[in-house]
Amino acid sequence: MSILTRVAVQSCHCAAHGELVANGAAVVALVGAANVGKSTLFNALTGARREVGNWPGTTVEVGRGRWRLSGEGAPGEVTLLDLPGAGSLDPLSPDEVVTRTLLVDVPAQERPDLVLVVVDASRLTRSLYLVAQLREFDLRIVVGLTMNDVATSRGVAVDIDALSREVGVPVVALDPRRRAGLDALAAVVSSALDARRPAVRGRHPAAGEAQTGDELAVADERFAWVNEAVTRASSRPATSRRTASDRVDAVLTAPVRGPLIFLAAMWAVFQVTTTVAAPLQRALDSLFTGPVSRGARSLLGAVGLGHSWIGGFVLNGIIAGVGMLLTFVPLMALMFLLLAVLEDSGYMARAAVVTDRLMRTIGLPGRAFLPLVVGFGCNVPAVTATRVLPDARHRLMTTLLVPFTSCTARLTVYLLVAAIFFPGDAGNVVFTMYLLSILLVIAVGYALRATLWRTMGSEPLVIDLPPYQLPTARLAGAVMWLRLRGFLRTAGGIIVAAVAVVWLLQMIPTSGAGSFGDVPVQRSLYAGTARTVAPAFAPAGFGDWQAASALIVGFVAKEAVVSSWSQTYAAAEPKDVHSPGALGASVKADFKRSSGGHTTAAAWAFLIFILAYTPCVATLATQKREIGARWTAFGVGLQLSLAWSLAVVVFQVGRLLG
Amino acid sequence: MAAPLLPAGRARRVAELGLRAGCRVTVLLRTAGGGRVIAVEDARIAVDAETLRRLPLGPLEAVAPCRRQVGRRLRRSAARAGCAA
Repeated sequence: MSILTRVAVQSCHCAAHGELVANGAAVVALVGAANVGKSTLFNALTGARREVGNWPGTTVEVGRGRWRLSGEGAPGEVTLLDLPGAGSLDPLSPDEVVTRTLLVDVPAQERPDLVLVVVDASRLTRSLYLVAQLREFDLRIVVGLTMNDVATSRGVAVDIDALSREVGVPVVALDPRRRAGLDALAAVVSSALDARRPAVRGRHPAAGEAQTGDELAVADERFAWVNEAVTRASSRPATSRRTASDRVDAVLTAPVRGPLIFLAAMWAVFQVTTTVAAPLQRALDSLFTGPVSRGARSLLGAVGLGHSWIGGFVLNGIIAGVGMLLTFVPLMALMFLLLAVLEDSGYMARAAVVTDRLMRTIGLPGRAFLPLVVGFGCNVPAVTATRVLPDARHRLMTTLLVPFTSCTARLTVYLLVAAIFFPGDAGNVVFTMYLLSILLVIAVGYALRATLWRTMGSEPLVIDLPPYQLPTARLAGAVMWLRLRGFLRTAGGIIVAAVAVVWLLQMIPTSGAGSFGDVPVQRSLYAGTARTVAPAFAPAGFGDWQAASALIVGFVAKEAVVSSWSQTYAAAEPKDVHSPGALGASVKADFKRSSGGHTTAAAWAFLIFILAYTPCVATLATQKREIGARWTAFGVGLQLSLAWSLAVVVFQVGRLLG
Repeated sequence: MAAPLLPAGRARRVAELGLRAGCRVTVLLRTAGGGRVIAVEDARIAVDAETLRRLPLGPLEAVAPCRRQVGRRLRRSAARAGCAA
């Protein structure tokens, strides 16, 4: 184990246990393999909104929540820990190391008071291996049996009492998706917390024994124990039944149809996002530019600040910034909701299968598809999601590739630019940008593998395919809200601050032109800074200071590009990015001038620069946390140089052709 | 299935998924990229072609309707993968 891993484990351990010691409540650790309903159960028990879904390894951080155990003799509130998904105590990834450490490697007195193991009734043998290992330690254990409906539909019958006898710990049947069996679970956990720990089963290999023949022999013994328990406590049909999921998989994972359906699904997600979100965005924007601004203006006028710089800051800095942030909410919410539905339905695991070969061309396993697809929503959680990859080099490479996935923040810029330069064709322009984003990820990944990581092997694809399920509104809504909240928390402050800073720079005059708060934008510090940078973009066809200033602000957050333009041109921000109005005319005129009349080529070059350069400072902060400052700086250099080179090539080729 | 021809860590991981010596494996589907979906007990596991080659399977069994879909191609590729069809 590397030092970094040790540090990560240690910090996680402290974070988890520091609070536990402080509140003095009993600690119940929730563990289980991927796709058994662990995170859903955590949400149902605590009311907390944790990441949930059908993706193997979705839970990548230790979550905490409070679980109230009601009833006579109940201990009241306990602290529930949601540990990273693990099918055993033999870790391959850093997340699984955390799970093992928190459960058994810490001193006995620091272990949780009870371990609640979530076991999938439809895949008993596989799920019970973790129970077999945990029973080798001095722990109180309760088994929560989920997926009972799936097991029944497959003809598998589980005798709960018999299973409890066989594994030597209480077993409770649950359906966390429908919140069934939770009271019974609370009662069983309450009494188990008061009861003595069960006798330890068998033996476990001592430290350092891993990877030896003895260790494998112990694993065989565990499987034999599990098999005996399963045989005695359940019955199943003699032959495998072909399930409805199998019939669906015959289409969705098929060699030709599978990738086509995947592409169609991604296309539908982006079409729905762009068309459905637009009226909601318009409504929110109208609210802020209309009643909210009017109200604030009246209020400021009443206190005598209507025409002061303070009034300008409140109206054009704070309200404009918050308003812009909120207009993104429908867009982000829809994207997150659709991705949550795809995850909850079980399709995302199939998408990993379909994309596995593609990912292999760049040396990454199919699992790396998860962070990359999350990146199309927002790069920040995508970088965090790279922790599902066990190999450090895979994590590093995926983290470097995530910024090239086109996040929803970039979508608004595409829509505005498309509406200005390609009216009536926004859908196709946006789809092209997403295809280019995928190609960019593949090309950069291939280049990195061919240069920096020539020896990197590819991890084999062995992925569990959960049965398809009808997504539940509660679950999809919870995931959407969780991600939306994360976006608002992570990016909100930065966006509002960026808008405020842009306003401030516009208020500062350069070389004696006017006074603070009373200066034309062309003669402000903002324009001065952008003019310094602008010549660098001349070969790409957008070398004017207005475009450069939007790109500078876009480095902080892409969401701020549109409002930056509206401030720069002193034009009202368009109520609808599909109808850019006066702002569109100004932008088009400047592009025409700076590109020498090759407006279309310059617009494509600008779009590609927006796609390829650094997404936002929030992503950089997350990258620094995951891969360190040096690799983050390398990534920024890569993004800027690639974005500039591609934009120049696109413009120059477009100019020659056009 | 006989013992997987995989490194210890990887062999342990596939064993956790139910793929271990002596288990009954049914090949269900051919997937995009040349892999397979296999049934182990009631679990469905997608495996890439290279890993499948390292899982020494005995007589190949396919669920009847799927066998019709995959047909000879599946049998040929399974034979290439070292599985007796």
